[in-house]
Amino acid sequence: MTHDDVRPLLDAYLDDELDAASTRAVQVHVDGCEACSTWLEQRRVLVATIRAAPLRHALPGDLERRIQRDVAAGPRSTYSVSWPVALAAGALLAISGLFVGQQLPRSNLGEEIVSAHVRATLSPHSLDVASSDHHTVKPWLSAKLPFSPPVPELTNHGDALVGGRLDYVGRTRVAALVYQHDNHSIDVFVWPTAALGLPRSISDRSPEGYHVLTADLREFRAVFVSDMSHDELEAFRQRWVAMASR
Amino acid sequence: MNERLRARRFEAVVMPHLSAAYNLARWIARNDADSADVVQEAMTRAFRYFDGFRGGDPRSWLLQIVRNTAYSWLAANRPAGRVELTAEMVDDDHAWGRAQTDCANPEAVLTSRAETQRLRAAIAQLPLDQREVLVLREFEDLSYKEIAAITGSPMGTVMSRLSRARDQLAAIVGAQEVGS
Repeated sequence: MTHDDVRPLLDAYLDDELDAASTRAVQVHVDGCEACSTWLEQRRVLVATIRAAPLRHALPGDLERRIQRDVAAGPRSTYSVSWPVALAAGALLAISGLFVGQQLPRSNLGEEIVSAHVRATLSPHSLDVASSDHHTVKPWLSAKLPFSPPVPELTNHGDALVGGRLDYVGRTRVAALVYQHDNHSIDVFVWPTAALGLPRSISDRSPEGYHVLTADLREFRAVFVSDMSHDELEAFRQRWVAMASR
Repeated sequence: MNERLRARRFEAVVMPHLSAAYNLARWIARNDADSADVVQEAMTRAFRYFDGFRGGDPRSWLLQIVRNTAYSWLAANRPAGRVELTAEMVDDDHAWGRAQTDCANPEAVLTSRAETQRLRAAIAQLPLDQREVLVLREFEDLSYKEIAAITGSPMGTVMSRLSRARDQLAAIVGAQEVGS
């Protein structure tokens, strides 16, 4: 390895994060390079200094007690913030991994998502990034969000990726992927599993005519909204999940 | 799962990492009141979605929730993104935990109060993406892979952010020549 190859690897080398072959190669270079040896020694001192200094914030006692009380009181205690309620059934279903959208009565989060979808369809600016290429849409969204959403590019069966935008539901920043199928617009809201639960699905007989289906991938959750028929949206949902799971 | 059993299991598995959760939230949100809000919301979510925790490292799981909650909170409450660095954020009278490493570390270097103060301010002023990687690495001792999972970034990005964060601090502490 040349000096220029080694320089960007020195922190990882110091942290023992390089694979065996790279570690050996860096070691060999460092043994013969005074600039790198010196740099490494100084870096070790810096890291040791940071780790030894009293820089961790201590957990305030009153906060700890408050949280302990809340946990001990169990799920029936009222939290100071109102979150979408996870149905006991929903929690049980979440354990089994991927599950089909359930025919359950609507939730606040479900309403929020329908509202977000409808507002977007009414607006001439429903897209922050307009492209049918997931190589454009995915990096754009990933740069703006604290996560990197899957952006399946569906092109068969009359599906088309139209673009994406940032959206905000359940007090959480989420990705909204926009697709077209025939004349219908579909929003797929995506967020990391740990960020937010899933809304209850909106049944066939929703007065507004919108359907909401959900999918639970390993690291992400997805919610599908459209005014397409329930069966058509379900078929789309399956195609999307199949592509996203590749 | 029986609700009381669930609460007891949560207490045993997740609550021990509350300190780590607070530390991360505090370095992201940068003041006491907001961090307390973030941690309460994060613990609420963690408790509700505890059924979704299927083994693995509970600390990483919790820290990922804390980070996402903190970012949501920032987006909702600080849309401009930039916050003036106030005295509270580097206050010496603020409650600080004990040093990360004790006598077990032969390379431990004791810092003077002034130098510690400078380090705190320097870390607080790092861009958020560098700051969180530094906190997760130096204060939580997480691997690059774990940090990549928590931040949702590729490992290469974690490496470069950590290097840049250390470079910034090195310049402040005067520990080494940057560049070369």
